[in-house]
Amino acid sequence: MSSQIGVESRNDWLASGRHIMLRPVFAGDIPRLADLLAEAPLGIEDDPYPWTESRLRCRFEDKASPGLWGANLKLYTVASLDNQVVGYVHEFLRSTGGTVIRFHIADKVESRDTYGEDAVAVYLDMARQWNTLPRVTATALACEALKRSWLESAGFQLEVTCREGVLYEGRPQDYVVYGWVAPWAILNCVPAGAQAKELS
Amino acid sequence: MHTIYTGERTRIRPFRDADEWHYTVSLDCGVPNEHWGPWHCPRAHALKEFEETGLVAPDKYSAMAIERVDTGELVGLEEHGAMHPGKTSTWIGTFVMKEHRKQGFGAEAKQLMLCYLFENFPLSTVIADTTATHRDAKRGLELCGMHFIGARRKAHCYHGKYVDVVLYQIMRADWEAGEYRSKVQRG
Repeated sequence: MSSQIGVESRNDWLASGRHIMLRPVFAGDIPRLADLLAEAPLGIEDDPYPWTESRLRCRFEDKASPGLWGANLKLYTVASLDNQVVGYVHEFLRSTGGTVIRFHIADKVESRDTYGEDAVAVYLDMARQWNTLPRVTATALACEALKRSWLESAGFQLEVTCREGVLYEGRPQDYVVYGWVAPWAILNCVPAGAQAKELS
Repeated sequence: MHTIYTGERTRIRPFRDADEWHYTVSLDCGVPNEHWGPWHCPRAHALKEFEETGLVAPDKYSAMAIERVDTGELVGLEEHGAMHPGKTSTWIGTFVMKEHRKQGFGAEAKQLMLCYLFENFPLSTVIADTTATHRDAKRGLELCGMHFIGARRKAHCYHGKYVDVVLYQIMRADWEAGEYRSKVQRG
């Protein structure tokens, strides 16, 4: 498998689907990821400063959480199976145990729809296997129809629509919140691995 | 000079000092209600937060003291999220000490905070959340003109159970139509 996808070992990727793999950020990904972070309509942080290669590299080399891989905040590279960087998933682990993700697939990449749908499904499949994760929250602009369709395909449900909640292209825009909830959390069962697996 | 917003029963003002802030936030964290559960804010953290900004720097988490108009007693805190020029929204939250609840202080403090936010910042909307089980908080949000916009299912865990977190929102136009604005004193 690893020779087919052009990475050195299985440790280099975390999960893969039919079209993409999800892996930690490599130093070589930084220039492309900086472009993608700048391109995404909904930023991964609340502050308004644009992402640049140097800013992202500083964050990558931060001694407290090197590799953009902190205890609560992680950035995953979404790469095609020939190892081209096509997107990212940014993950925030909440103190209540769920994760909040913001993700983006390059606007102009070929097969964007295929990659995006696969990326969301692969992330969710990976997260489900942690067995103790109660829910995954994902946000997008209301006008991002493709992203919303990827979320819905993966099993997320629309939960909240916030009117004029973010600024994009100079105008207040609506954003939407989608959620996926583990079956055991819906039933308020113990999130034990075996039981969670059985329920899911 | 910071503008103080005063309603019929309460006013919101900056915290006087770090000790007042720590006292209030430690009550908020240390006397959890049955809906959110326990939390902890170390004194060192609270003092650092206060010393950096006095908790009235709009680009960071901020909070103001809620004070009774009749007695001058401190009854809780009203907080809001960080803002910056690219944001069209922020969030608010309220804590009222147990002995001062069910007297409408929280709802009025929210109205005062909405005046402060919409009058001073180019916000389109303000958001708030609470647990689906928290009837008093939901009523307080509705009383100050906020509308239900959805629920994050099973987003909070307390007492061994996952509960929904409900979200409310008020648009600038709705706030402008609020009658209470004319009764608020500024200064």
